Amino acid sequence: MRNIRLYFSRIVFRGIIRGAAIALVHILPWILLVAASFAFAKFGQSELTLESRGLLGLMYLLGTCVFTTSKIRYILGGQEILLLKKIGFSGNELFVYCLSKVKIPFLMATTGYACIYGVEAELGWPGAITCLAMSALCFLWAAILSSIYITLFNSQKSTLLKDISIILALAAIFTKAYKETYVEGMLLFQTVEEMVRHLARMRVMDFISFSFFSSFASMAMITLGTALLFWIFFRQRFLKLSVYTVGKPRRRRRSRVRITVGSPLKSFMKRDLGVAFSSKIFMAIQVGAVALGIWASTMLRGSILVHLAIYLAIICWVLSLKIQDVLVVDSLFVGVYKTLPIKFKDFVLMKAALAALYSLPCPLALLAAEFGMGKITALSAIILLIGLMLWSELLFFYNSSIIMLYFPKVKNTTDMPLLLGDFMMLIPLFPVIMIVCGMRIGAKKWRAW
Amino acid sequence: MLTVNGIKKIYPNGKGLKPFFLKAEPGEIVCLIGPNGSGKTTAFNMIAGIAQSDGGECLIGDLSTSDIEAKKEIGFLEESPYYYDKITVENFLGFIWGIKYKGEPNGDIYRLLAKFDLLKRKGYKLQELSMGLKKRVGVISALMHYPKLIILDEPANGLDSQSLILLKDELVAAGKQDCVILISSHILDFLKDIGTRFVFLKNGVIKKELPRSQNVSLDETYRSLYMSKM
Ligand SMILES: Nc1ncnc2c1ncn2[C@@H]1O[C@H](COP(=O)(O)OP(=O)(O)OP(=O)(O)O)[C@@H](O)[C@H]1O
Ligand SMILES: [Mg+2]
Repeated sequence: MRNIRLYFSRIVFRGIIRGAAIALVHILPWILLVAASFAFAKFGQSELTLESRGLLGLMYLLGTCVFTTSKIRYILGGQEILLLKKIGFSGNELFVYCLSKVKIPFLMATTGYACIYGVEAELGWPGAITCLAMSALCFLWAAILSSIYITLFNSQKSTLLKDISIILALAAIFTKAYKETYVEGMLLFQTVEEMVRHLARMRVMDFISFSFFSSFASMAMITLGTALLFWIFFRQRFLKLSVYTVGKPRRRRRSRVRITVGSPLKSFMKRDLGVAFSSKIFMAIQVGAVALGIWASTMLRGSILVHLAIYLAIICWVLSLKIQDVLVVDSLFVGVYKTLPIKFKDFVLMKAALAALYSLPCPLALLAAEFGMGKITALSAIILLIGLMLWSELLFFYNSSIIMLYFPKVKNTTDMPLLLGDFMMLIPLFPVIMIVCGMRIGAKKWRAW
Repeated sequence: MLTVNGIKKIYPNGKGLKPFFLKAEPGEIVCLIGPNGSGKTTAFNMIAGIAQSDGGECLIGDLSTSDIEAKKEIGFLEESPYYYDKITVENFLGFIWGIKYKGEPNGDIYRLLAKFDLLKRKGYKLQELSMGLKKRVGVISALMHYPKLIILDEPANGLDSQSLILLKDELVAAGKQDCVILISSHILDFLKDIGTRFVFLKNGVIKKELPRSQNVSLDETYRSLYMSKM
């Protein structure tokens, strides 16, 4: 038993180290963004408005929350916990273990965020500390909620409800804080700051009970509405329903979807889209991203260059968060890939298409909304569009060439290299060399696992 | 036609497979028999071209099985396949089909799904299937489209009696379609009914080859080869 404890403390320690690495990866795009905005200000072109910085901060916090809760669920439902349970670990120990895996990245990320936010807003350290307390509370609440949900229900549908209700509850909390702090004529940035202060002043019990209340209320709502719709769509009942109501026999449906021209790319596309769209987190991010993009377009002021900086930051952020997810399915498929005639070239091209799908919705929504409101001309819209696509593809190739060095071990080993890669990206010509070398090595190693 | 020409593999611990030779004509069902650790899986992995051989070659027609183009001609059921399991049965098989044979899956997948009683479960994710049901999916992925070379590593593990009987039918049918079939199993009765040739392995060496005949007794051969010291 002592050995097991030793092992336990070792994995907790390793979790902390890795958590720190992940956290750094998460805050890096934010640092880059702030650096870019200072650079813009310095060169006198124009600068990011305070609103947009506050907005991005809010997006960032929300994003981190979504990722954290999903990660808690993943860990609590995972094999590792099952194993530890079997060896006889108590609930408390398991909880500590989970926290060590999730808490650290979250806290680090929000600390980083809070520090930058506080310093940047010239609030000084007190401001930063309120942010920190706030985010710690958020985390605690999410962790407690997750574990309760999972021990109570522990089924697919309840976790879906949990996800949606957590998001709604967060929205409710922020709306409440917004209503209570908003004063006419206040800048958004100040409002956010006030909101955070206000939330931080709430007593812990108030905060937790309010969030419980709102999340359970939203759960009840969702049970009737969204979940039903969601379920219908994602179980493809909808298709069956429509087929049945028209009175067509089953065989008919099969022949209708048959398409004969084909390439491996299409199979990849079909599979990956299937996997992606059945992931609730993916859907939440897509919907959230589009909504935020449109919302942001009504808030932003400044020149095209500023917009471009924001677009790029968003793509950077999404890709560095999601690139592993894009490739992790493939790392689990290697057993099958070995028996299939897949060329490395096809594989990478397919993944590039998918990466665009992950990273472009928000910027594209932003672009479309701005074009629709007449803020930018058609010509610059087209230029921006092409630029965005190129940029997201370039970033994808850069990141995936790093991952390819390690493929098929994606999840565990690539956090650190990706982090390093984010720094190295700033060295001139390095990305190009990296892409060429990484792809070469990847092609050489392809199916020699 | 399958030509295995001296493939071999020695693991760092000294175990593995000594040079292995085999020739099989279309329509043959070759059964590999041997106790645990005798090298069946090692041989199959190299023949299917998913593991590197230390020497020799393995040809199907005149194409090496490790060639990327040859994958279209090979259906392989691994011993302990690990599949990404958050994908539905239909999408999984459709994906493999699309990569191998291009285009949408034709009736073959659905015929096999119906045969192995999976048609009403085709919308299930792999994680929602039991061990035997997953095995059936693996078997279907190896059998569909009748590839020239079908390799099944212990397909009988975890299958229920009904699926075993159906599998036998399918293998005989595949033999009639001029597929070369390699199969390993620890259930001698299962092999006895379908095999046209039996290869006995011991410690990585072929000890005996028996053709199919009326009075062949696998039990007796097995006893004399592996259990004589008892
Ligand atoms: N990755 C490996 N590293 C080292 N030795 C191995 C490895 N895989 C197999 N071996 C050894 O090679 C020998 C043959 O193994 P193999 O898996 O081919 O046996 P098998 O006939 O398939 O057995 P079983 O009936 O249990 O499936 C065994 O002695 C095993 O210990
Ligand atoms: Mg074996």
